[in-house]
Amino acid sequence: MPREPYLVLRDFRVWFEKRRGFLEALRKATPHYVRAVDGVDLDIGRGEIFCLVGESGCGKTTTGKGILRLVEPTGGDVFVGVSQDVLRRYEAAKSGGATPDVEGIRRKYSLSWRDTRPWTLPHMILLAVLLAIGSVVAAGLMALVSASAFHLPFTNGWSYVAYGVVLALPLAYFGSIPPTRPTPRTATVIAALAAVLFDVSLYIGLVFSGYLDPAGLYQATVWGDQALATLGGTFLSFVAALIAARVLIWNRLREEGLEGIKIRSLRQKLQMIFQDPYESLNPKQSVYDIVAEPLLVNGLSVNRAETESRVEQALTDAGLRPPRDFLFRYPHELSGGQRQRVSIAGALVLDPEFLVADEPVSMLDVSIRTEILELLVELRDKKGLTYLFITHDLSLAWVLADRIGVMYLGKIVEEGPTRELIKNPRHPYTKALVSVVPVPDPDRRRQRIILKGERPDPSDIPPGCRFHPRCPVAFERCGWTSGEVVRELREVAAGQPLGGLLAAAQLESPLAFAIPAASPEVEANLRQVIESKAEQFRSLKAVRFIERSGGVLRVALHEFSEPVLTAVSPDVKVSCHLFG
Amino acid sequence: MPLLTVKGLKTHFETRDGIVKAVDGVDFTLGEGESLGLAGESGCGKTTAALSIMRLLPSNGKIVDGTIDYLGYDLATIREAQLRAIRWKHISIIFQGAMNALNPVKRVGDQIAEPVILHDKVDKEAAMKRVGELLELVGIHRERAHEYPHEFSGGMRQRVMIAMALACNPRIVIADEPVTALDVMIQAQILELLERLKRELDLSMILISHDLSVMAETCDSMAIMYAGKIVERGSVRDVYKNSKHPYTKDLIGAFPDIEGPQTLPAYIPGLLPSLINPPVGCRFHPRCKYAWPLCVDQEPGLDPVGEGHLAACHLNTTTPPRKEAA
Repeated sequence: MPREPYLVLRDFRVWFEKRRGFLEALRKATPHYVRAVDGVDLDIGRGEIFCLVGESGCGKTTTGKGILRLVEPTGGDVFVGVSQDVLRRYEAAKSGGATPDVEGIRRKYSLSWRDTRPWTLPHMILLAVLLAIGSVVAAGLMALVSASAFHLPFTNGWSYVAYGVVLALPLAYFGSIPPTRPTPRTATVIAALAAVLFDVSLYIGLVFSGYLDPAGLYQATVWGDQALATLGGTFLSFVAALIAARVLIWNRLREEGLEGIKIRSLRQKLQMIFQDPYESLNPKQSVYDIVAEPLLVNGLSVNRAETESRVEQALTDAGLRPPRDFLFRYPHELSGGQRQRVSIAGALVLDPEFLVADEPVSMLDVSIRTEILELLVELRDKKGLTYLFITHDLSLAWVLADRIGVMYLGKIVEEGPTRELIKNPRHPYTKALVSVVPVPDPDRRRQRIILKGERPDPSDIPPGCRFHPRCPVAFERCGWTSGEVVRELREVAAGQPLGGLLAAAQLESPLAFAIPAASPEVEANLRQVIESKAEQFRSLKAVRFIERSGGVLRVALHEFSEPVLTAVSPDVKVSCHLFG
Repeated sequence: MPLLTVKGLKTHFETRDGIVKAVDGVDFTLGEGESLGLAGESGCGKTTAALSIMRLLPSNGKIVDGTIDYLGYDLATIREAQLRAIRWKHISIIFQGAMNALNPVKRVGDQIAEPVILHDKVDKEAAMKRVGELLELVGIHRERAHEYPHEFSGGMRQRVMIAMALACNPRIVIADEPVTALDVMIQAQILELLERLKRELDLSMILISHDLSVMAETCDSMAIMYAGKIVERGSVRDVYKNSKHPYTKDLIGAFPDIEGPQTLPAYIPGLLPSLINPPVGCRFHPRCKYAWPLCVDQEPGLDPVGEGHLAACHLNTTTPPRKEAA
C-alpha cells in the first residue's frame, strides 16, 4: 500500500550556466549548461524516509537544495502536500497536452514555478500610451500647481493632493505587475518611490516654469508658504501608492498562486540539515541565537518568552537535554554530535513537515552516528516528518530508508523499496554500486563489479543512456556514436592492418563512419575484431552493417534512444533498455 | 622476523591547553609483505603513530619515549641525515586527503620526479622515464605527466599520490586514509589497485582508516586504537570475529552492514575522552557497558588472549563481580 505522496517532483531540472568568455557572450553563442539535475521524477510518501544515493557530482545535493529553492530550479515542478486530485488533474492535463491547464496548476501549486512572462508587445504599447497620457496630465497639473502656488486664485492645496494621487496610481500599477517580484516589501518601495517622485517633480516643475530660483530652495515657496500642502501631498501620494500597490499585489498573488510571500510560508515547512556541523553553525552565535534565528527571521514569535520556550522545546526534541545547559554555549564548546543536534534543532524550531538531510552523519565518528540517525527516526515517528535523506553510503540507506532512489548524472536510474533495491538490484549501475559496498566482515568476500573510469562531466552528458560508456552490459541501442566506436576500434585494432587505416576514418554522422582505401582483408579484419571483441568492448556491438564499395568501407550503427524511468514491478522503477 | 617493530611509542603534543598525549604507549610489529590496519575514531592517535614512524610530526609534536626498530635502526632516535636515507627509499607515505596534498602549481610529473631525483641521484630525463613507468603502474596514461593536479579527478589524484609513494621502490608504504572522501566506486578501484601493487611489488603496508568495513576487505592484521592506545591487536579474523575488547565489538557493531539486518546499528554512548586528561584506569571505562571498579583502579595491559591476538581488557584476565557480568 503506497502512502499518500507528500513531495512530488516532475521533470525537475537544475542547470547551471557555464561561464562564457566575453567574445562568446558577444557572439551570443548558445550557453553551455552543467546539467546537475536533469529530469528527476520522484514521489515521497508522507512520513517516509527516502534515501537518494549516488556518487559525488550525481546531483543528489542539488536536488535537495533545488526543492527548497536554495538554488533556483531551471524547470519542472515541485508539489508539496498537494491533494491527489490536483495531481491527477495535472497528469491528465500534461498527457492530454492541455498547456493552459498545466500552466494553471503549476502556477497555483508548484513550488518551482516562476513567473517568467516577459514584456509582451501589447503590454509595452499600453505602457507607452499610459505614460504619454500620464505625462501630459502631470505636466498640465504641474503647471496648475505651480501657478496656484504663487499667483493664481486656487491656492488651496487640493491641487497638490490631486497631483500626488495621479502620480501614485500608475506607479502602483506598473510596480506590481510582472516582471516585478511581489514580495512584502514591494508595496513599500513603490509608495516611497511615489513620494520621492512627487517632491522631485514638483521641484523640477517649479524651477522650469520659472517660479523658483534653484539656489533658493529653502526660502522657496514650496517649503515656505505652502509647506503644509506640500507635505500633505507627499504623504497622500505615499499612502495612495501603498494602498493601491497592496491591493494589486494581493490580487496578483491570489490569481497567480505560489509566488513570493507564499513560498516563504511553505519554506517554513521544508527545512534542511547540512552535512558538516563544523561549518554550518556560525561560531560567533550562541546555541540560543542559532536556534532562535529562524523564528525571528520569519517573525513567528511575539515576545522573548515565547522565543525562549520554543527554542527550549526544539533543543529538547533534538535530544539536547536539559536545554538550559546548552542555550548559552557556543559551537566550539560542543562535540560533533551535539553540533549536529543544534543544527537539527534549528530546523525543528519552525515545526517543519519535511526535512532534507544532506549527509547528516558523514562527518561524525562512527560510534555516535547511530545516535543522530535514531533521533531522526524518532522525530519521524513522533511528529510524522518526511525525509529526503541524501547519502553516498548504500549501507546506511539499507538500515535507514523506506525507499531508495539511485541517481546517476542528474537522473534517477532506479527507484524502489529498500529491500527490493538492495537484494534484487536491476539497473547495471545499481548492481555495481551495491556490489562494491564494503562489509565489516573479513570472511564475506563479495564478488565486486568495479566499473571502469569515472563519471562523465555533467556539462557533456553522453547521448542515449547516460550510463552506457561505463556499463558492463551495454548493447546495440544504448547510445553508441560513431566517435566512440572509432575510438574503441583504434584501441582494439592497434597493430593490425585495420589499425593504421582507422586514423583516417571519417565520421559521417553520429551513426555512420567510413574508412577509406580499405581492402577486402581490412573488411575481414574488422568483422573478425567485432566478432571476437564485442563482449569486452561493448561499443562494437553497435555496428549494424558493414559495406564496402569503391574501396571505402562504410560502417553504420544501430539507432539509439534514451531509456525512460518505467515501472518494472508495482513499486520498482528502472530506466534501462534491458527492461522494456 | 618483523620488518618494523614499534615498542612503547609515546608521541605528545605541546599545546596551550596542556600536553596532548596523542600516542601514549603503542606497540606493534609489521612483518614482511604484511598489511596492517590501524583503525580507530578521529583523535585516537592513528595518524600521529604513522607520522611518528616517518618522524614527520608538526613542530609541537615530539616522540617522548619508545623505539621504532627498522632493520636495526631506531627511527625514533637516529640522526636526521640517516633518517633521510630511509624516508621514501625504505618507508614512504600516502598522505591523507589526496585533494589537497598535491602542489597545485607544479606539473604532476615533476612532483613525482622530485623524490626520484633526490633519492636515486639521477638526472631529470631518467627520472621522467621512471615517472612514466610509475603512472602506468597506477593506471594513468604516461602522457598525463604534463598536466596539473586540477586536471585530475579525485580518484586520479589519489593514484598520483600512490605513484609518488612508490617512486623509490620502498619496502613499507603507509597509507593514511587512502580512500576517505572518495566515492564508493573509486574507493573500490583504489583498494583494488593497492592490493595489486602490494602483491606485485611485495610491499608491506600500514593502512590507516576509520572505516572498519574497508579494512576488513584489505588487511591481514589489525590494531584497534582508542585514546592513544592500542586496545586490541591480532589477525583480521581474530579481531573481527573473536573480538576480546568491548570497544572493538562496539565499533564493529556501529557499522551498518548491507548484508546484515535492516536495522540501525548500535552506538557507543558518551564522548571521546580528552587526550590531555585521559580517564584513569582503562581509558574506555566511561563508555564501557561492562565497566566495574577494577577498570577505574587499574589500567589493563595488552595481554595475549590467543595465538598472536592481544587485547587490553580486564574481562580477559579477571572475572568481574557477578552483578555486572553480561
